[in-house]
Amino acid sequence: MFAGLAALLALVIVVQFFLAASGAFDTAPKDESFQIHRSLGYVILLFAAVLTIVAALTRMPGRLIGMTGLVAGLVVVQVLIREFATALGDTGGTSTTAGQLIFGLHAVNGLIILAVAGRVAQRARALSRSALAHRRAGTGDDARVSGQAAGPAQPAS
Amino acid sequence: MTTGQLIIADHVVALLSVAVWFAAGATAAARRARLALGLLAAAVLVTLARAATVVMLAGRGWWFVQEKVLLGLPMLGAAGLAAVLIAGPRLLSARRSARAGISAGRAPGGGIPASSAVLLLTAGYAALAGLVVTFLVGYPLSWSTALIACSLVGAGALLTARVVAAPADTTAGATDADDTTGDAGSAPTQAPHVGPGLSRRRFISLAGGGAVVAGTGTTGVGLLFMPAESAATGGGPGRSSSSGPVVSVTDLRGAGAPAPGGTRRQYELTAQTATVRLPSGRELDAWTYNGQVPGPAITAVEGDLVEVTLSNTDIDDGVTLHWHGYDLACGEDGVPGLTQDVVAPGEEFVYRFRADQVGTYWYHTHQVSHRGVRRGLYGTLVVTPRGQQVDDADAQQLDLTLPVHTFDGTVVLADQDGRTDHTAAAGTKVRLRLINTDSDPHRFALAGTPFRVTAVDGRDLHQPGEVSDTGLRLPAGGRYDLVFVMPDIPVALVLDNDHAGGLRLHPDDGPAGAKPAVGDTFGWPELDLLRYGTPAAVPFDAASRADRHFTMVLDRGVAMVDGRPAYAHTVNGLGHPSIPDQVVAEGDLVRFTVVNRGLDTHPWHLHGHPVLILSRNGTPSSGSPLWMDTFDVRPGEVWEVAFKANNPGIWMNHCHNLPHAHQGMMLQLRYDGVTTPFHGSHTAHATGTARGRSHDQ
Repeated sequence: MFAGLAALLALVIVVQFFLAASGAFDTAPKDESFQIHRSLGYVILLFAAVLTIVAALTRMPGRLIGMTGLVAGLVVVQVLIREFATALGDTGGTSTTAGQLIFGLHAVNGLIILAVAGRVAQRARALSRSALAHRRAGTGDDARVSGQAAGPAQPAS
Repeated sequence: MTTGQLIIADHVVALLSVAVWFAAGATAAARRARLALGLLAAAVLVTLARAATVVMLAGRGWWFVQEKVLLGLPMLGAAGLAAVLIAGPRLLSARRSARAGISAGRAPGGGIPASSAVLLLTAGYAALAGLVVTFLVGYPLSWSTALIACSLVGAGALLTARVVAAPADTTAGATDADDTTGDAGSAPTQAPHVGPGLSRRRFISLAGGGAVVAGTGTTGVGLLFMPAESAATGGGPGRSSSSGPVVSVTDLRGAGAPAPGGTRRQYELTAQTATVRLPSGRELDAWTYNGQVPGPAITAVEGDLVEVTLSNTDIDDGVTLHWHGYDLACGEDGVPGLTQDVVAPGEEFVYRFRADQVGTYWYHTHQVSHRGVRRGLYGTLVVTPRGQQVDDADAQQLDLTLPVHTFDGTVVLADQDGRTDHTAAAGTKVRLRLINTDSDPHRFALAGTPFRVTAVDGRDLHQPGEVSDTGLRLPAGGRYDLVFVMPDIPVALVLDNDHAGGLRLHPDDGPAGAKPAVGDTFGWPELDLLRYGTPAAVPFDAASRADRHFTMVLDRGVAMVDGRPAYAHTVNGLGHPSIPDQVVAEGDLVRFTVVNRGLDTHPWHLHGHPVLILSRNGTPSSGSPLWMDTFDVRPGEVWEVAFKANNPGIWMNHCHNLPHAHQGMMLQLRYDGVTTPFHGSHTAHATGTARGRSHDQ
């Protein structure tokens, strides 16, 4: 289950890039053209936060939990970059140079988010595959089986 | 450092503290004792820095720090202290043993107990919870918020304890295979056999903790549903229960006849969609009054009767006319669902009022105004003093009304995009009436001549001095009248530092290409109206005892707006229509403290009354008495204003950044004993003290 959700998260982030680009070339006022991008941003934040909790509940490796949490943290940074940049240039809608420079980080951070989310999805997939393979190959007298039985929640979906 | 900058600095330090505590926890979980120890030290330092920024911010006002002082910092302090006192020594000893262990050939950092990582991460959760409360809830802090926040931090700690204490050994193989760097959180060599998971004691303590966390959280959520107050009285008496006559806003209408000597001025305004062609050739799909943008200029001489018949052809949202800044009778105020029904296609409404108030004003629709005004439903209202023409008949005059509006990024000054050129002989008395019809402030600069700002929001200033090389920041909805005598050189009105646009005045009929000497207007200081002009007698001042005092703390946060949860623009943590009405009685001296906790500028606008500016950020207004109907409360600012409640009605009191108002930043000020039969934009069902709840801004 986790692997599927992680892949979905990465996919949604790709969609978010698409919306950012289409918003940038939209002729409607800024507020309107980025409306969907903004809403989806909050959806991603919530999704990443929930996914982190899911990862913790399903006993994913700590590193994977941490990375999922990192996606949520970086999405918060995305929001903050936007807020700070607009706070710096609030006069007449013309943003200041400093505001524009800071806003540029929004794109860089976006790439980092995509990279981390992609890595989470990749690792989760590898985990679920190997766990699945393991279960199929399990002969019953493997020492790991006891551990497997102890974990009520399987990473494999 | 301004309060606004301090707020940003505090956010940055808070965010940093979240990052550092999490990093310390993650490295401890990864059993990097040395790095974790370094990060722990950094976390302590950042947390102390955070305490410092909060203390500094507290000096600017309790509103800015309440939730930080009462919840965020204590939570972080407790979790951080536990982490330092318990995890600190363990990390130290782990590092020592690691040093010793390296020589003995053992893996470094192997001796960090899992509880250290849990404690450090819990401090991270506490720091995060504090920041989230600041951003999502803000002021005022409620028990509900505090309980939910504590419960979530506790839940995080328990979940972490469960994960860290019982590594997922089933996945260890995969982690091993996939992990190229070899420092996975659950190193397979650490605990190949966890056995049946948890010991009984552990299980009981986790379950007990879980019960406490769940109980706290449930209580917090339950408190959310406590009934809220529907009205605030600001320290004055509440609604009179029975005594006194009840007046409906429909009975509060304007005069039916002009003052002696005045005339009746009739206007027909028809709201319709239209394609408007700008001088540059650009075409706008606009919503208009009479097919033009801006709508017809309404002018009157003091004492005239203005009668405007509004009809609607095809604006499906419906329209009204709100007379911005004009203190007319409440029934003429044009707020759909509150003072009238919205004018739907095919319907009409007649506004009638006596133009007793001289100055520069404007009108706009108040129905879904964040869309309607933006698309073009606005126009100007200028009332000139009676007798002025006779006095100045010999002198040449140029009186320009210049509403600024932005259509999809194109700035339009009056009806021109691009630059406007005018000719005025040297010696001409020039008055420029600047009106900001947008939702964001605009910056004006007048180059080539000294000038006076003779009126703000239509009201004359007292002895305004001559200024030059000074920028003017015009709040959304605000108006400035600039007056100067035309020199023999060109004059430029620069808007938002766009030297290609704006307005040019040329002293003769010569070639329009003669360039005015427009220097770097960007660097010009901004005129501070609170220190402009000279004091004069006022009916009340900061020392006067107010009958009512309302504090409005503006911020962003999660709140219900029109029945839906939203990340809203809030007043005291609430969104329209949940913000309690402000109840006043006729004759009261009412004081507002308006605090901006957020990072957006909020142009505050009270209908029906000008407010006298008393102070900004604790500094009293020291210039001319300053009466405004729309004042910009910038991030971190605290404004004290007051007004006399002398215009009975039910009045909107809102942010004139119209999208902000639409997103919740809007409330009502109601006079005791005044009712409205309007129930929102679609029904006209009358009952007692019905509230216009569903009307849109």
